[in-house]
This record gives sequence, C-alpha cells and structure tokens, in this order.
Amino acid sequence: MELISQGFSKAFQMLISGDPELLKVILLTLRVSGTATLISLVVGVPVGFLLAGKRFFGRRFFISVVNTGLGLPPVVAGLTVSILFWRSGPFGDLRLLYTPTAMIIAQALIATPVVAGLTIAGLQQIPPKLKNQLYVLGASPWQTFILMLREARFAILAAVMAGFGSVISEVGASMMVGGNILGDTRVLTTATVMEVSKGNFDVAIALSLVLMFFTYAITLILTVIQQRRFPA
Amino acid sequence: MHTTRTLSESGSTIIPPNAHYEKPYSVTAPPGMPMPNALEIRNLALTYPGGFKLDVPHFAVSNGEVMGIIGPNGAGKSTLLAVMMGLERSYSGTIMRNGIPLSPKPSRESSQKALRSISRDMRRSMSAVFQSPLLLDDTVAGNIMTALSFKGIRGSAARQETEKWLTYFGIPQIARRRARLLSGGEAQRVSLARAFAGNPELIFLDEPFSALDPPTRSALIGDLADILARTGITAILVTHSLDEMVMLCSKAAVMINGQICQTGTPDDIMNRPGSLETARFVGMENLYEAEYHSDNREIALRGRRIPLPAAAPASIPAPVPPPPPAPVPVPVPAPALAPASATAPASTPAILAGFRPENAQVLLPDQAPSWPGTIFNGVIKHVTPGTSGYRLTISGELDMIIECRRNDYLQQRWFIDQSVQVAVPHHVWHVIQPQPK
Repeated sequence: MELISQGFSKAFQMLISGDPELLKVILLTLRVSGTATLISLVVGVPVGFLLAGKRFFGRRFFISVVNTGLGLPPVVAGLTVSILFWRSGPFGDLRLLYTPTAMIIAQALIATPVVAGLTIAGLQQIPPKLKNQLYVLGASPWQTFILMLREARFAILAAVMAGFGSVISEVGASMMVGGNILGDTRVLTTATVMEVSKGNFDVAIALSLVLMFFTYAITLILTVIQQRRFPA
Repeated sequence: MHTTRTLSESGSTIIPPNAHYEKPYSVTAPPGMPMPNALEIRNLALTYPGGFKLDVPHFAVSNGEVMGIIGPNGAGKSTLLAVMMGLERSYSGTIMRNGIPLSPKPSRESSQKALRSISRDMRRSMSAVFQSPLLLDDTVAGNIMTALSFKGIRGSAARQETEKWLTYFGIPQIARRRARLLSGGEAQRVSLARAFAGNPELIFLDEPFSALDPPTRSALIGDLADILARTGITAILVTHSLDEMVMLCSKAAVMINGQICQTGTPDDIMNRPGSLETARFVGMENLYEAEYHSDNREIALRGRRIPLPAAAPASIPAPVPPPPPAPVPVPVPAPALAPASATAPASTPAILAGFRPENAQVLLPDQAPSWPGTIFNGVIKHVTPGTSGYRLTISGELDMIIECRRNDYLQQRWFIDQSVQVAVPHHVWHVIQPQPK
C-alpha cells in the first residue's frame, strides 16, 4: 500500500515540479507515437480503401495479411526494423538505428495494419451501391474517395484511436530500435520498464500514470470528435 | 454527327426558382439532319457467366421522352440500365448519347473493359435514383449540395438550386434534417430531388418506388409525373409495375428474358401486346386460339364471327404457311376449334385473339349489353375479391376471367353456378400472331 501511495505522491511531485527529464520523455513519446500514427493513416487508409472497394486478383490474400497484422507482436516489428537498419543491414548506411526515426518506423509498422484493417471493416459497412450512385451523379474518383471516407468516419476515427493506442503502449519495438537512451530515445514505456528493473517502483508508477493520462486525453479528444452531434 | 454541347460549369446559369426550365446541355442538329436520340443502343450483347443473355439489337430514347423499361423480375431490365449508366461494362455493342458514343470503341478485346468508362462530362449530365435512396450521412441539403458540387455548381447558386428542388418535391421543411433519420418516402424524395438538381439531361430511375408503401408510393408517383411533365427532362424508368408505366411513361419497352419484345405507348402495350409473353405479363388473361379472315377483317372464334375495329390489326401479316400450334394460355381445356367458315385455308391463319378481363361486361341472361359486341354464355365458377373489384371465373362457351367493379358486383348479387352472359365489345379484341419457335 505504501508503495502505491508513494508512487502517487512521486508522480504529483514530478508533474508539478515540471521535471525537465520527464517533460522530455513525454514530448518524445507523443512525437514518436503521434508521427507513427499519422504515417499509418496516410498509408493505411488508402490501402484499406483499395482493399475494401476494388476487385482484383489476390485481394482476399492481402486482406488476410492486413488482418494478421492487427495482431503483429511489437517485438517482431522491432526485430524487422532492427535487421533492416543494422549497421551491416540493407539500410545500415542511413545510421538510423537507436534514433527516434527508427522508433517511428517501427511503430508505423505496428499501427498501419490496425488502421488499414479497421478502415476496411468500416468501408464495408457502407452499402456497395452508394459508390455507383456517386459515379452516376458525376463524382470524380477523388470526390468519391473523400465521401466514402466521410461515410466511414466513425470507423476511421476508431482506427486512429486503436492505432495510436497500440503504439503508445508498446515497449518491445521501442526498446529494440531506440535503445532507451536518456534524452534521445527514452519514451514513457521504456522508461517504466527500466525503472521497474532498477526497483524504483514509485517512479515507474508515476510514469505509468502519466502515460495513462496522455493516452486517455488523446483518446478523449478523438472520441469527442467522433461522437460530435450532427449539425441540427 | 454534329452536336453542340455546353455544360454550365459555373453556377451563374442556374435558373432561379420558378423560372422557366432550360436545358443546360443544348443539343442541336445541323439543318437537314434529324435530331439525334437522347440515347441509342445498337447491337448490344452481354452474357453473364450463369448463362443469362442480354440481347438488344436496337433501342432508342428520344429527347424529352419518359421511357419505361418494363418486364418481370430477372428479365435483365436493371442490367440494361446499368449498361446505359456505365456501371456494367463487359458488353459488346454501341451506346450513344445524342449521337456521341458513350465510350470509344475498344481496339483490343483485352482493353475493352477499361475503355468502357464514361467520360466525366457525360456523367455530369446524367443522374440516377435507385431502389434505395443511397443518401450520404449528411443533412438533406448537404446531400443535394454535394451532388451539385460534382457538376461544378457551388455556393449560393447551389443553395438556390437545392431549395428549388426540395420545394418541387414538397419537402423544403426537411432541408436541415439529417438524411439518416428520414422516413423511406422522404428519403426517396430527397434522392429524386438530388437527381433532378442541376438540370441533368437524362435521368435513370431504377425501380425507385418498389420499396415504398402504397400511399407514399402513389403520392410520390403523382408528384414525379408532374415534375417530369413540367421540366421535360428525358428519363428512363425501370419497373415491373404496370401502374408506374401507365402513370409516368410516354413510351415503354417490354423486356422478357433479356430481350426487348415490344416498344410502344403504354396503351399499346397494355391493350395491344405483340406476343403471348407480353400479353401474359400485362394481364391480358383471356386469350384463345382463333382464325383470322383477312378479306373481311374478322376473327372466327368457336363458331362466332367477330368484326375487328378498323385500325386494330395492322400487325397481321399476309397469309403465311400455318405456324406450329401455339400454346393455349389461361382458360384451360379448349374444345376443338369450331370450323370457322368456308373461306380458303390460305387466308385463315391461326392467331391468338384476346381481351383484358376488365373490358367485358357480365350480364344476367335476359339483360342487353351496352355496346355492340359478342355474347358468350357461361356459368360463374369462382369469385375472387380484389382491391378494386371482383374477378369472376366463368366457364361455358369460352373460359374467361372477367373483372367487375365492386359496386356492380354487389348490386347484381352474383353467385356461384349462376348462368350469365358475357358481352365482349368488338373494339376490345386484340389479335396476336403466334411466333414460330
């Protein structure tokens, strides 16, 4: 019990005092996971749109790949990125391993299938004839794309939340490709793991609370957007 | 073929509410040239993997016409419409709008599908309403404004146009409501308003009323008929409802088993079907094998001579070698054909003679008919109540189904096994040449 109360008071202390180290970790966490989510949207939504709407050979195979990716273990994503950016690996010359960029790449790899999979599910809820209707009314392919996404906006916002949630909470990939370097690649999850291994449970609790607070705050914003009342 | 086409890109040409209707696309033929058809199909053929075949050698819709495509379910009506809308592309043949092919002729078989897509300009000059309203999750006005934006109409012009069409369809008060929360009838009105907004050149209506309940449906059909007449927009309506055809269309094509078997006015189709299939579909239930005497334009039926009206059987060809016996429809066991007359057999081809159940009068044995006609004696075998009257199954000289209005039925107090006479006026008879299979 004492451990927990100590954890809470430590957390408040750290937050109120504006611990610069903690602030750095928080900002990096948000930057890495936010960017990764953004990338996963830019890639995952169009991929989901194509897989949901177009009929082509191998479509079902690709959908099954995406759906498998929904359960992609972060360590596998981390391992893949590590191998690719290892000094002697194919992209070793870019010297990206143990940088935030590598973490973003790994996290985007985790979030993209989540976003694509939920986008497919959302778009397939729309009556298939709606596309025909838009075509006959004279919509351009781009207008059709935008309107279909608008129709699936609830599902796509859910995809954003799920994608963001999956990357801000993962630790395996960030640890492997980032290395938990203080002031450089240390994020809230990796810091928590480290503090626990050092026996600093109070700090670990504080970090976890901060992590949960931010996850909740961002999800809340997205939920408010998603559940916004329709005009009039 | 030279046609000038100008699609209004800006909103400035949009007509203010209640102004006289103008077509945004002006189609004119050069002097001496006939006006091209709004839509024309030549040699269309399409086969589905299941074996269903669509085969339309020729089909044309002229400007300002409301063309019905009518037929039983599964006849290929909606497929034909999908071809015309550019949604179904794996066909062979040519489709032209105002004399311009819908899509360039494919150079190779493999590239056929890709080239079949319709140019955006052509799509912007048409619109469609399907069985379900297919509205976007937006406000009613937002739905119409979005469709207008496809056609390049935005801003205040779009708002004006939206208001105008919502008013025409009697729903200005729901402009700000969310489309998802509308009733079926309201939603279909919005879908129609969306289709008419921006004054398209051609509107496709694919069974737009079949999901509506009867009062909603008939109110909407009335309003649509009015708007079609007022705007003069060319429309193609697919339906399996004879009512809709009669109430909305200026012309109609009957489609059965992937083929158009008759084109004509709704009145032609209802009263002068060209084939046995059409006759059955439009409800000409009384059909009999008979002989036709071309010299004095008479039908010989069970020993009776029925003179045909002057204009009717233009379709009766010159005597042909006797066709194989046609299947005798509805009224079942027909006694052997009575010898018609002593005329030479060459001038008496076997035909089908028929009339609609509502076109004859049932009388008591001593009553006189109101018009010159043929009297057939019979006995009432069955009475089936209907929405507007009663259907009497009568057997005797001819097996007949006669519809009589509820009021007449109740006044006469018909009963089963009662002897009656049926007066069939001469002018209601229609003659069908059986098609050799």
